[in-house]
Amino acid sequence: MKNPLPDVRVAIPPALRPLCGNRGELWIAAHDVRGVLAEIARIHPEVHVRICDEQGEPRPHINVFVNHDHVRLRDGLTTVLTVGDLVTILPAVSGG
Amino acid sequence: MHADIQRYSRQILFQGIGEAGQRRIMAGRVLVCGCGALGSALADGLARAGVGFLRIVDRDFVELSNLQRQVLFDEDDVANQLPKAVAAAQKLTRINRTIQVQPIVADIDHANILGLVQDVDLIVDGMDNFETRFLINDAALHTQTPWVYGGCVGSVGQTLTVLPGESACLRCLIDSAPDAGALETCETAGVLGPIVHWVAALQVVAALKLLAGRRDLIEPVLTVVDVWDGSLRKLNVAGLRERANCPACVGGERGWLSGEKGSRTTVLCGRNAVQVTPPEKTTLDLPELAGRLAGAGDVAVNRFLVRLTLSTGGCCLTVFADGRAIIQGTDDPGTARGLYARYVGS
Repeated sequence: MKNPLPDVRVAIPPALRPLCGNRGELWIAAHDVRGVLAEIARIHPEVHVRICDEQGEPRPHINVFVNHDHVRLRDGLTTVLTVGDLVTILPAVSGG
Repeated sequence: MHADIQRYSRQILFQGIGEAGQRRIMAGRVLVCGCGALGSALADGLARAGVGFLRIVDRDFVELSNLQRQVLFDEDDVANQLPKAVAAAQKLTRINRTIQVQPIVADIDHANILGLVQDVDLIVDGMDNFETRFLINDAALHTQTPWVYGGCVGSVGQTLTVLPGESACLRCLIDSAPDAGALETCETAGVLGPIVHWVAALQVVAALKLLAGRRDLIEPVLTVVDVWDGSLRKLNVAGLRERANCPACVGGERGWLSGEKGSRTTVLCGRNAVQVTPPEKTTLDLPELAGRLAGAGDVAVNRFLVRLTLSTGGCCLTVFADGRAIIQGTDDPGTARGLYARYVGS
């Protein structure tokens, strides 16, 4: 029997919270970071379109971290997740 | 203790600085880019700490809505319509007459930035847009000058210290300029005064470490803070420049410094208007933009454009779906770019 997908936490930036019920954190079951983004596309498409481009890649101003590491320091969007990992969707901050 | 450094006695007592560190700080030269909320808090912190030379560059004038968070300014500066760089220099000179403050009222662009950077030890970022930050990043890499990025909006902020050739640079994190309208701005989403001071405090500490000769204490992290929930996270970006194969700090690309990249502005003759074309092609969600601008003035929207008439200043921004905007009420390209960055975002 196939192992169930791990439940991970996904930190949603303040600007996108109104698009997902004003929640700062989502629990999502996904094998890797790409799976997290795909699940966001399914349950909160308005959030996904602001995070990812038409090819499903994070937009240039969006960085993704798994726990404390930038995903590019691991395996990018194919970074495998374990139960309880924190995936942070982090838009650049422009103001000053 | 010698009289010239007596005023810094509390800072010298702190073991991370000491008298030797303080003397290095006093010999330090810093470029403060922008003197709005972050920039004025940065300049205030650096001047009080005794940094020997501050060059403060800003293109704007003091307005009443600035006073909520821009600590160097007061109602007299608004009444006198002083440029921010000048008002800041006057205030800082009253705070610390032993340092040299050079105000420059200018728009930072690819033609002047190397002249601003060439004789400083460090650049601190108080800008409000990514176009200028990419330019600062290019200039810092070109001259091997460390710089400290800082940004804030709403209740959140971020800061990153860039050590050219050693640590991740801004383009390791963000390869190209965010699409027009992609990011919140302080004019559309608001900003809390305390987040400005938290981010500026982290930037000033990074600056003091570098100036005091403690480069070894700079961590390869992007620090992310939220003053509303009281959180601080240090996110690891060590080794990102190699993994990201960064076009700027690994590949040597300097498109912003050469002027190849960046928005284009065209003064529309006889119309008291400037057209701003964003650096990257984009498709704006016009109703969404209109919603974000609702608090900034009178907003009208149709399927072709959004028109924002500002409640103060007499300017009107007409923004088209391709990201292009016509700014009426000015013939100054720097002013137009500034209004575009504030209200559309870059």
